[in-house]
Amino acid sequence: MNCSVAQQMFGAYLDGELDASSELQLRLHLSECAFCVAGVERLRMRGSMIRRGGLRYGTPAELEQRIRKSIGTKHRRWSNWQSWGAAAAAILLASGLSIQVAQHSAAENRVAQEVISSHVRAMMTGHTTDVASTDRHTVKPWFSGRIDFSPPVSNWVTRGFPLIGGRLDYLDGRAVAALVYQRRGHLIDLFIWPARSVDVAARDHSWNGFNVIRWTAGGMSFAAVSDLNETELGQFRSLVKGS
Amino acid sequence: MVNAEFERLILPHLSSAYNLARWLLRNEQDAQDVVHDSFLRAHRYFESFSGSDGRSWLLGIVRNECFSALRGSKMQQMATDDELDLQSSGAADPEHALMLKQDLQALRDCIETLPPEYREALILRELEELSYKEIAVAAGIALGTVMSRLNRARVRLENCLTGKEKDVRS
Repeated sequence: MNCSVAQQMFGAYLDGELDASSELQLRLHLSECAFCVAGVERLRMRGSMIRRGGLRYGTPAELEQRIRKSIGTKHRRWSNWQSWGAAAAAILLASGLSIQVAQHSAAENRVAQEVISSHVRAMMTGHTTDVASTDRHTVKPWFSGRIDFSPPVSNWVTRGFPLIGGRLDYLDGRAVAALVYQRRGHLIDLFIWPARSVDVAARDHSWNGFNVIRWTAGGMSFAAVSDLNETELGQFRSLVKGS
Repeated sequence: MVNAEFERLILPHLSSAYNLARWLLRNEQDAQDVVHDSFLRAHRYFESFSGSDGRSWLLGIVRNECFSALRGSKMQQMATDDELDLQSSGAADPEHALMLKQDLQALRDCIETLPPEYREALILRELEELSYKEIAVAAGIALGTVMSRLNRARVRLENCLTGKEKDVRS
């Protein structure tokens, strides 16, 4: 393989789209060619720059309403997310299930583990929501009578984080509300419960491609878990905090 | 009357649809109108959609509407700064923040000057994270064409950006 052939493959290589034999040949070439290694690195850095954030346009708030009005959308129940569950199960089987947790307090570790387990379990079974609706006026009242507090519920479809529903869950010995959001192909579980003193110092965690972020606001404790990258999950946190 | 499947499979991709249209048409009003019309079209032809990849199907409709509009060439002038959803990248100090802002401006200008087919491939890959296969479906092109458009987009982008970086240094 010469350099000009190799260069045609840099993009597909970084995007993980090369077939096995082409990738092998490229890797062999890279092991012998510092010039091409530098080329790949330049392309990788450009990609990071583009994806760093700020280039994606936010959807004007009125557009969703305008569309719904035109097509007369009504909110209905959804079926379970079967294809998602199958994909998640495959990823987990491939990567193994051992949890390595950083040195924080035992109680906090346990909550983080439970958050991740619940998220993964929901994806594997396909049972992500008990109430499936993008309408917060449907989801929020659903919790009343089922849980001992009223969780704040918002929908950010125009910001690229649509609400897809909610469910009851159980974390660290108490019933919690779980709101389910979507970001492109990624599911986000947002767990909410009345804040306890121990929650205030809670920290973020990462495990095996899943990110957990924790915060308290307005007397509520929040934990968001997803395989979405930390930057966008942080944007999600800003949206929730701002509402 | 909309069924639950449209709500589940198509509506959540509104922001991807808008982002693509906004980058292709280069102003907000045209993007809004085209996305609105695309959703109407998608709803009308929803019966013909099969499978589970609503996003690629919807984006295919959106990009076709965009390219029709571009050929019609009744498009407005290029957009202003304000609507860019400039999310903070967590820059700690003002000087760093200014550099990031300049980087973003340079990136934005360079992407906007790409030919629309190259721009489309870049936006779908980098911002919407579609696979090559999904891009092929959405754009109605062969896989090999996806790769060559992406390569060309990236080469042109690199040339444009290094040109600007030289200007800044001199």
